[in-house]
Order: sequence, then structure tokens, then C-alpha cells
Amino acid sequence: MRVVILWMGLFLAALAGLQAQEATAGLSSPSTSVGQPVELVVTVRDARSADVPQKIDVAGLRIELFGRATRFEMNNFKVTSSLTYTYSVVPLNAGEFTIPPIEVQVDKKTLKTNAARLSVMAGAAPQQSQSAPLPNAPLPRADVPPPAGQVTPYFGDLLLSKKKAYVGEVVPAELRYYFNSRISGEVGDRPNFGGEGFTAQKLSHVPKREQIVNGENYVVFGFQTGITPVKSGALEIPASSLEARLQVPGSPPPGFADIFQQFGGALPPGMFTSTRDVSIQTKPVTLEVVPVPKEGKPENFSGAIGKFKMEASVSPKKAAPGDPVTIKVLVTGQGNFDAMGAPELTEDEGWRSYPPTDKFEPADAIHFTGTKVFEFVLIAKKDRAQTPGLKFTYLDPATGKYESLIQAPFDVEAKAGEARPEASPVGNVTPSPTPRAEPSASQSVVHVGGNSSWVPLFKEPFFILVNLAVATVWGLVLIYVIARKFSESKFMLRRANSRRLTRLIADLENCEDSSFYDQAAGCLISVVGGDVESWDGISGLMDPDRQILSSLTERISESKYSPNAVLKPTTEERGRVMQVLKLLVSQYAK
Amino acid sequence: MPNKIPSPLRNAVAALILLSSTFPAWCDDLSEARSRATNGEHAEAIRLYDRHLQTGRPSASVYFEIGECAIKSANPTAAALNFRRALILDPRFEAARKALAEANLALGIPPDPVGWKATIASKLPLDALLITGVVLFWLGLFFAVLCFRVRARLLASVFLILSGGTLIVLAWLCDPRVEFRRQSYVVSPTGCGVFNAPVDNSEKLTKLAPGSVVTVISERGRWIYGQLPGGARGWFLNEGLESVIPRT
Repeated sequence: MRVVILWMGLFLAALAGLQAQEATAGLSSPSTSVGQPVELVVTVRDARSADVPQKIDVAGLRIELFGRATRFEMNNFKVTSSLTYTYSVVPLNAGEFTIPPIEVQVDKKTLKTNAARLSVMAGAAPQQSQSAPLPNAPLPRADVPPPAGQVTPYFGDLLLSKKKAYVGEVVPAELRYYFNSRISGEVGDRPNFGGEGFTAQKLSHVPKREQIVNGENYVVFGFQTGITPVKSGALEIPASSLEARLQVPGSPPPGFADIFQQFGGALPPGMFTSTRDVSIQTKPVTLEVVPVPKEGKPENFSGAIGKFKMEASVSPKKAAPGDPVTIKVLVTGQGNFDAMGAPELTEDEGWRSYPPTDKFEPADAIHFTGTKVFEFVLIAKKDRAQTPGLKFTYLDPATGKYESLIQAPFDVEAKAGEARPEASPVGNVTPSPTPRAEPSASQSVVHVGGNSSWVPLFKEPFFILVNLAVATVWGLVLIYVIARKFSESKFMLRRANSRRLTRLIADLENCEDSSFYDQAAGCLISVVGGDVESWDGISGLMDPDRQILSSLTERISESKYSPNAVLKPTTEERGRVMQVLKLLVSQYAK
Repeated sequence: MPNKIPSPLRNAVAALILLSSTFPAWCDDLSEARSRATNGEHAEAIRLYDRHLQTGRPSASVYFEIGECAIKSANPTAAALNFRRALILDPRFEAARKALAEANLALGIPPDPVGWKATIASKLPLDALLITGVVLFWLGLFFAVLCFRVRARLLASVFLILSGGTLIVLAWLCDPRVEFRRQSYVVSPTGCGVFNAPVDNSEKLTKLAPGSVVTVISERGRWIYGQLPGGARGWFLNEGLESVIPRT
């Protein structure tokens, strides 16, 4: 028995040796605010020791190593070992940061982690549910896995980026579900999330990552969304749950543990597991929602809440009479882009403007960061040297004040377009109650022509019929031409001649003796061409055949030049001549 | 008294009488509509124009006149639809093009983009182009069959076939009656909601203003799946839409 266990141990050790070494890096949160640290966890698989840098230089971030852990695990006879290095990442400035791949030295080899991206917002610190274990560093110590082997296998958490928000403001939020890395299983596609008093963006997956909570390694499944409160007051974001089927640690069969104790050791963790369907829930979070301030609220406030920048351009700089000039406005930043209205045109006298088109280009999955592009189409009613200016007003939630972004008019050279005589107040004309004659455009426009059917010409039955008729004629002509060409071919001529010769032989066979030589002469001429003497030029004839043909030629000459003489062949002679002629015809047919 | 008139003759006479009674009525509707329009009775004029179109062949001029009456009745949505129809029937109808642009301006609809198809349609008579193409195509084919033994003539016939084919394809691509076959127009004065799915309580994606034109992709009951002017797709209720090319 001991030998078997020893071999099993060697086998498992060999399996462990086959594991590929790799280094990965993950952030405890993809977004945070200035001053609020997050964790960067570097995990090195299948290594007993490794060298990592103490500090990582990224402008705008302070990244320092503060923790190291080693872990050996055996899950269903599969042994894994990993080293975990935890860095504290403290944002110093707002913005988008990319932490470059970190070089890890393992056994004279250099491994590189993946790069990690961190979005840092200015403003208040993120809020998290009271009893949840900690998403962002410094890690909270409430509701953490208890020590002495009692590990919380899984738990959920909801993070809001702020505690207080305005009605209509987008609050980024993240649902997190933590699973102890010792357990495995399958996790549902997405949690159920929703409630009253707010709208939420479609949940977006955050890449799976690892995080240490109170010394325990957890795998974190995250889902980001943007919550928009629609009424003021205390808004309770209800719990959301995620379904999962987990392989949780189980007890070994009776007596199995004794075997290990004989060797002075305990059962390897994860060796025996059981399947359990669970629903992991976050805890409800309360968000304080206040209405947008009335003080200082401009009349043209379009509902934009966030932090924005505005850029604009104009094209073309020179416009011919009636040609449009387009002002393109890019509003970039973070906020409620979906509810945002267009900037306002100022000093637009002398211009005819169309309602602007807009297009949003999100930079994240929850449509919180991005660029909204507005395009104003303008036509000069008078000669103008400048376009209208632009004004965009928004509420900055960090300060609670309304801010205005101003774009000065652009210099252009636009000529006035031709005004249509009766075009002006299209939408405001009221029908005249008196049926008296009034000048009407319909009388001034005399139009003759155009189509008198909604069906295109090529679908008209007459058009189709005419073309079908022409196609039929063309097909017949094609058949005629092909047939004529075929009938004139050498093959067809030869075939017709062959048929004629066969007919002549048949006639010769049945003819009277008195006309035999005449008909035989005709048959021979048809075969050899020219006159009866031409047979001499035919190659491949045997001597007896040549004698028969020579005799036949003589008889023919005799018959020709002695018209009164009646030459009749004997039956034997007739048979020989027929045989030779048939031979000649068969050779000709080939 | 026995009827001595043969049956076919009797039917022919009846048809003639019917035709002779309908034709003046058809002409009367149009002239009456024009008279009413001149006198400012635009609503009545539109009704008569519509009646005329129900019995007669469609005409760019008549649709333009309906559009003018609709403008004067403060109904730019109907005006834009009729100007558009006039322009489909005659893409070279410049007055209709300008009137459509004005009506769209009143509705707040961006002007139609001018593509190469619209440019060609506004410059060339498409039916004449199609007939020329067909004639050249058949000439080329006959030429090819009858003179295929002569190399130079064969090349000429290939040239004729290719030229004819190009003109046919061009006429087909540029004909607005083909392009607008699957397009619908938002006639509802309150606009038309665009939904994520063909159910009443589905997510509302956006709202189309009156006068917008959408391309119909498929239909399911009273729901239409179509493409918006910007290229996005969604579901609309067919109550607020009308086919740009009238359905017969």
C-alpha cells in the first residue's frame, strides 16, 4: 500500500513539473478616484521563488510592493503552486493609466505579465457596501474570512463610485462576486440587477482577476454598469444575485484520512469536493440623490452632468451661395452622454440652421466616458464673415456648480443663398378661410414629363414581352446558324456520301444483269472519284482484288464502247465484283 | 320584342358608354382640383387630386401640386411626401427638388444626401437610357451570331454588348422607383418610436421625426423592421408609416 502511495506522490510531482510557468497581473478595480488606492496583484504560477521589482514607475501613480504569499494547492489530484505579489497603487492624478508589463525573474528565466489599465476619476472616493469585504485597497476588515481554516468560500459586493449623486447623473457601479481560489465551478452569465427609482446601463463583463482578501486568494468576477437616479431622495440599490455551481471542499471517505496520518501529514486541500448550486448576493447600498441645483441654473441647461471639454471645427471656410457650412463639435469627458443635449448656437443672426445630428463614441462599456459629436449644418441668409458661436453648459457634480464652455465664432466667407419666393414660413401658414384666388406656386410651375407609372420600365409587361420576343428570334437565329455550320462540316458531307454509296451497292445487288456493269461503273466512280481508271491509285488492295477491278474496268469499257453488245456477268463474277466494291465502300466509310 | 343585337356587340357598346362616362369625370377631377387650389380651397383640392390619382396614372405634376396644397394647408409632412413622390416619378423635376428641401427644412429633417445615383438620375432620362442599352445589347448579340467568323466584327459586337449592358445596369441602379421600393415615410405628426424588439413594452431606442424616411427590411404583423437614416436598425409600428411609393 505504501508503495502505491509513494508512486502516486511521484506521479503528482511529475504532473506539477509539467505545469507551464506564467505571470499575470490584475487590478482589484479598473477604476478609482484620486487618492483612493487599489491593489495590483501579480501571480506567478508554478514557481517557488521569484524576483519582482519593489517599485513600478508610472507617471501619476505610486506603485509599491507590500505583500507576498506562496500557495500550494491540490485540486482533484492536480497540484498547482503559485506566488502572489501584491502592490499598492495610489493614484496621484486623474486620467487613464496603463501599467506596463512587469518583469518577473523565475529560475533564470524572465517572465512578463500583461499590462493593466486603470481609470482614475477626480472627486469623491468610491463607496462600498457596509458589510462587504474589500474591493479597493486598503482592504476593509469587516466581514472577512475568519482565520483558522474557516474560509468564506464566496461572497458578493456592490461598489458605487460615489455616495451622493444628482438626479440624471450617471454613477459608475461595479458588481463583484468573490470565489475562493481553492474552489472551482461554473458561474452564471450575468447577475440579475435592477430596481425602482433608477435606470441602469447594460451590464458589462470585467475581465476575471485575482485578489487577496485577508490573506486568502479570491477569483473575482466583476460586472460594470452605470446607474442613473431618476428621482431625488434616498435611493436603495437592491441586492443582486449571481447563480453558480461550485465544487466546494468535501470530506474524504471513512478511513482515508488515516492513511495520510500514517505518513504524518494531513489531507491535501481540495482533494475531495462536492458540487453545490449557490446564489451569491450583494448587499443593498443606499445612494443619496439630490435634485440639480436651482441656483445659477442657466436657461439653456441641456441636462449634461459630468466633466466635459469641448472642441469645434468648421468646414468649408468658403461657401458659395446656398452652400452649407458645417460646424463639428466634439464634447469629450465623463458624464451622462445619453441624456445630453446639443450645444447652443449664439450670434446666429443671418444664418439658417438645421437641428444638429449627433453621434456618441463611447470609450468604455458603460457609456460613461467618451466623445459625443454634434454637426450643425448652417446656410447663410446674408453674406457672413463669421459663423455663430457655441455655448455648452453642464453641471459639474464635484463642485455642484454649472459650468459653461464657450466656442468663439469661426472666420468664414459665406455668401447668401438664393431665397425661394414662396418658401418662407412653411410650417406657420394658416389656410385662408376665404376661397379667393391667391398666387399659388402650382400655377407658376408648368411641368410636363416624367414617368406615369410606379413600376420601372424593365418590369413593365410590355417591355418584358418585347425582350422575350427578341430573345426568341435571337435564339432561333443562333440555332439556324449552328445547324448550317454543322451541316457543312466534313463529317456530315462524308456521312452523306457514305449513305449514298450504301444505297448504290444495294441497288447494284438487286439490278438486272444487263445493267450490272453500268451501275458498277457508277458505284466505282462514286468511291474513287474521277473515272473508273482511278481505282489504280487506291493503296492497300490485294492482288486478287486488283485483278477483279481490272477485269471490271475492261468490261465497263467494253460495255461503253460497244453499245450494241449485251454483256451479262456470270453469278460468280457478279459476286466477286460485289465483294470488292463492298470492301471499297467500307474502307471509304472509315 | 326579341333582342336582335348580338351579345359581343352589345358588350362593346356598353364598354364604350362606360368609358365615355368615366373619362370626363377623371378629367373633371383634375381640373376641378386645380380650380379649387387656385381659389385657396386646399383641403378640397387635395381630396380631388387624390381621387384623380386613384383612377388615373400617377403624374409628377399632380403630386407636386398636392405638395403645394399641403404646404399651404400647413402640413409640411404630407407636402414632403408628395414632393418626394413627384421627384421619384421625375428625378429631373428641379422645382420638386427645391420644394422638398424647403419642406424638410420646415420639418427639421436633414437634406437628402446627394449620391452619384441621384446625380445621374437628375441629369439623364433613365427610360431612354434603358431603351438605348437594350437596343445596343441586342444589336451586339445579333451581330455576334451572324458575323462571328470575322474577328473585327466580333470585337465590335462585344463592344456593343458591353456598352448596352452598362447602360442597362446604370438605368436600373439609378431609377428611384427601384431604390424607394422598400422605403417608408413617417407621416404621424407625433413621429414614430423605434423599438428594440417587436413588442409593445420593449426598450425604446429613439424616435423618428415626422418626414423621416426609413428602409423596410422585413415585416411582422403590424411591426416593421427597418433601417434608420443613420444606418441603425430597429422596429417600428406600421401605423405611423406610409410607403413612399404608394401601394396599389
